[in-house]
Amino acid sequence: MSGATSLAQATVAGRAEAVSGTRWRAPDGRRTLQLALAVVWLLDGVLQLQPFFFVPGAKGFSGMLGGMAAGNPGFVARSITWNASVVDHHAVATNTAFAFIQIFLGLGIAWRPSARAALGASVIWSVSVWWFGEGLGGVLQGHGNPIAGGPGAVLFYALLAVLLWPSERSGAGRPFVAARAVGTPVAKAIWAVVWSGLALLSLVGSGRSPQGARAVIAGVDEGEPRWLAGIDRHAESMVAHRGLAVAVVLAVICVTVALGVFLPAPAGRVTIGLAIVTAAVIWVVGQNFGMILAGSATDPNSGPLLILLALAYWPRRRRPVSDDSGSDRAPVVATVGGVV
Amino acid sequence: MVTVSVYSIGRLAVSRRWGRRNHADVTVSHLLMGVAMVGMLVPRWKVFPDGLWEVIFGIDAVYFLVLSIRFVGRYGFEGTDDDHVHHISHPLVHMVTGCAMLDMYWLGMPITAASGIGMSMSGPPTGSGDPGLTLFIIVVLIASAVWQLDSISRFSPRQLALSAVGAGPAGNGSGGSGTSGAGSGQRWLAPRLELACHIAMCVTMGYMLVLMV
Repeated sequence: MSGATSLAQATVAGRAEAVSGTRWRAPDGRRTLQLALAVVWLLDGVLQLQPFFFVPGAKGFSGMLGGMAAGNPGFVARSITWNASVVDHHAVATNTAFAFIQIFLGLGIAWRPSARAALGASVIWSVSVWWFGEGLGGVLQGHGNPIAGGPGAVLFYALLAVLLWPSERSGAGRPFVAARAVGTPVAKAIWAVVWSGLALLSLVGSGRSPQGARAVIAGVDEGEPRWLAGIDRHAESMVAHRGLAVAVVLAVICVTVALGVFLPAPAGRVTIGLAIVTAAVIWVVGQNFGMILAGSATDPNSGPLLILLALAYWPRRRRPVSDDSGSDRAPVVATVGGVV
Repeated sequence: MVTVSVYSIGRLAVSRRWGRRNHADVTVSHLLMGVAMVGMLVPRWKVFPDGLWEVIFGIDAVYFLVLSIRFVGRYGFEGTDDDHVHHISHPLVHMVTGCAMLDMYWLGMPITAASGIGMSMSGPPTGSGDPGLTLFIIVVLIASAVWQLDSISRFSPRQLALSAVGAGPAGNGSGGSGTSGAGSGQRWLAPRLELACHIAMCVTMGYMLVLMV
């Protein structure tokens, strides 16, 4: 009797699944990282609603944007200046639009039916912000130091959207989450390029000057709470006049991390762990949590994005599974909520 | 927030009248928070003095703390409740929202409704709270909003149809009754709207706390 009932229930369930598509699943590793990305987008949008950004003029948001033009090539500088002037003339309208675009990107990624569209839109928005809002991350000005957030935190949003894209590459098993959308060779190449690029950026431009690292830290400690300012002062004294040494050490770490993805899983975990620790230290000491605590942040800067990126490359413990299993887990606790 | 408050009143009335299952404690909490935040944003709509609100939200936070402790005692940290729907995150996040309200009152709400851009700084925060703690609360609230939005499709009619035939409240494979309320004989009242209220509450609280950091 119970067997017949179970069979009937299974049949009905199968029909329902066939009609509705797929059954709701708890977030797997990739979905968890997508949700983490959505959290950052939503935080960005909320931060964009701070009163400071609605103020026109040199001391407002438009002044901040216009300041990115200096040092960039003419055509880039002109486009940044044009954007800043538009924001200056329509400060409230443009900033409201910017804030709600980011809020909708966050909510869009979080809501499953719109996740794909929101991830795609986030790539376009990120690249636009990188150009018009961050002045190409200061890369062409020699200010793309990774400690300060180079080559632009917003680029990592776009990169994560691509790597966490909800599709599956056919082929052999995937050793980490980031390989699911683009395939293992491409994902490894992206990782190597990103971290090699960070190594390069730490060595070029102002970052390697004797006071380069100290200047970056000193530039973010204004308005921070006492405990964080204390960490900053200690760090400043440690790196004062040692800018070149700091740059070289950071470059060596970045190269090591870049190569780590090609190593066997146990060694790979060590290098990914090194990447996470490095990003965390940079986020706290060099970026002061994106200066959110000082009340002047537009985003949390590159630290958390680098950590998310590293988690997307965390080698899986289990053997590769089929495409639709959704069972791969990044080392993130997936809190599955119920009805609130 | 006005919409959430009005909806919460209606939800309490309808669930009682129709005999539908509802988280009355959560709905009351949403109602109180909505009214309190409206008063923060529009001072002339402030219904209680700040001190009374602090007591109310202190009780609210302690209530959900007690629920959290009881939950852990019965189901453990990783378990789900008898409906196989709620995790420990359910009472915990409501405790955090209560704490967020307290944080707002302790820090001193610096915003008021103003002409033009709809908000303005009326002075620096008067409190001496820890901005690190405030940032932590903001991240928890926003993360809760995102995770709840992710799970909202769990309660679509299609998914509930699946759970009603024993496919489980999606995802956990537990085969539980989910919001169909098969175990109790009663259906939940509009679970997705309750989630939507929670999401709106979390985002608004996050925004207001950001203004105070």
